[in-house]
Amino acid sequence: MNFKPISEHELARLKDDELISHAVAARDARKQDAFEETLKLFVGRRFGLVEYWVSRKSNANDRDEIVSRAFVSIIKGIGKFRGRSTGQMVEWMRTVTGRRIADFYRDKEKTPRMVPLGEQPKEDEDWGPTNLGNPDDTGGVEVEMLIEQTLETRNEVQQEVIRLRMKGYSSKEVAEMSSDQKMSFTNVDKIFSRFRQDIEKAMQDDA
Amino acid sequence: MNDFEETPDPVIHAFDEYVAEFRKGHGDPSPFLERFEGSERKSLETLIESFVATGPESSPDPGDPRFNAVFEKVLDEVSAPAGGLSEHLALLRQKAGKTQAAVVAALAKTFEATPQEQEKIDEYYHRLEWGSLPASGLDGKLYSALAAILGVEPESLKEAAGSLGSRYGASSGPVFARSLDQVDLAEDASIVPGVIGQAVPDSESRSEPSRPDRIDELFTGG
Repeated sequence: MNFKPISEHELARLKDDELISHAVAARDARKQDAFEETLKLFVGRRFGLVEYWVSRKSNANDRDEIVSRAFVSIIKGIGKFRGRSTGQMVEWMRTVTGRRIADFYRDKEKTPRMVPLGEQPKEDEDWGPTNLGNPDDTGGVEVEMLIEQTLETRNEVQQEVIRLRMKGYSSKEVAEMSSDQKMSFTNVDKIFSRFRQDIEKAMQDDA
Repeated sequence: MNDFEETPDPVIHAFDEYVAEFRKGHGDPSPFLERFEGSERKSLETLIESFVATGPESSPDPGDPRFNAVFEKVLDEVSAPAGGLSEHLALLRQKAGKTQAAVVAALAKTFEATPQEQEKIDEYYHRLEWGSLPASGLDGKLYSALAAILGVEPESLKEAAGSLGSRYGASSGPVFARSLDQVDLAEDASIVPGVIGQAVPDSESRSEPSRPDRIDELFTGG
């Protein structure tokens, strides 16, 4: 088998589907330690995301069970989507997680019996629209539009600051990354806070 | 020092705290949303949604017991040596309306197996569906034969083998519907998981021949 051990640093640089491919190669080469290490890295990397999606639509008591089922489905199916962009991959993971949440609560309502093939869950190769919320949930699209509309009222530097803050960079990090060399983290705070307040006001007006 | 401690806006402060927790693998936003009401809560929710939409990565503490417990459960479900082939074969067999015995008989016919060789094929095939036979040893001729019997392209079987999957009996959910003549039923007529009407095949239960024969080569690469 063509399995080449790689350093932790190189492992961390692999994309999601590449990590799973590496795990498969380790499995085939009977390198159990490498297999587990790679898999753990993948699960850890996406743990926050999957938990976020699950926590929005489940009870706290059911959370860990659903999170583990979602990961099992994601890991089993990810090989089919090699070469997709990270954004597409994340969107697919979200879809799969949504299905596992639905399956869990549907199965909980049923009495124990074998589920006929015809009632089995849809294949996770379907890249149809994400449906993590209610079937007609358009809230996500409206929020996205509101954010973009509010961003458009800002100049380029401010837009850059806001986008970086929404990616999770701290005010200090954004100040250092900003194309405006005079940007201070206090200014970053003000820009982001005003943006947040404008979003809040727009939501109040809509309500 | 946490940079976000300097932030005067309490909603932004909560957002930054959430981001820090997310990075540790704690993705649930409820503890932070619960601090606010009305439009402040909504604006925090919006910021968190936007952050999550960027597909951020987390890095849980290796000692986190909750993370480790979830990981162990996941590992248990995806560590079958046969990868995804185990479940895929069972599903295809069900769709084709065939029993395991029928697949084994068809394989024996394809390879013109002697009765002794057919017994070997029987055990190997059971181990394959069980998930305990490493997919890496399967010969291309075997893939072609299985594909022809199950009415699929060999590539779909190879693809399944190249993914990660469960052993039979793991909580694989409803995918693993087995033919009724291959399983035992409990007193209430529910399916007994892990019981396939005969002794569970064990990779060590059969004494290995001193020299691999052609059936060994088909299933294990010799």
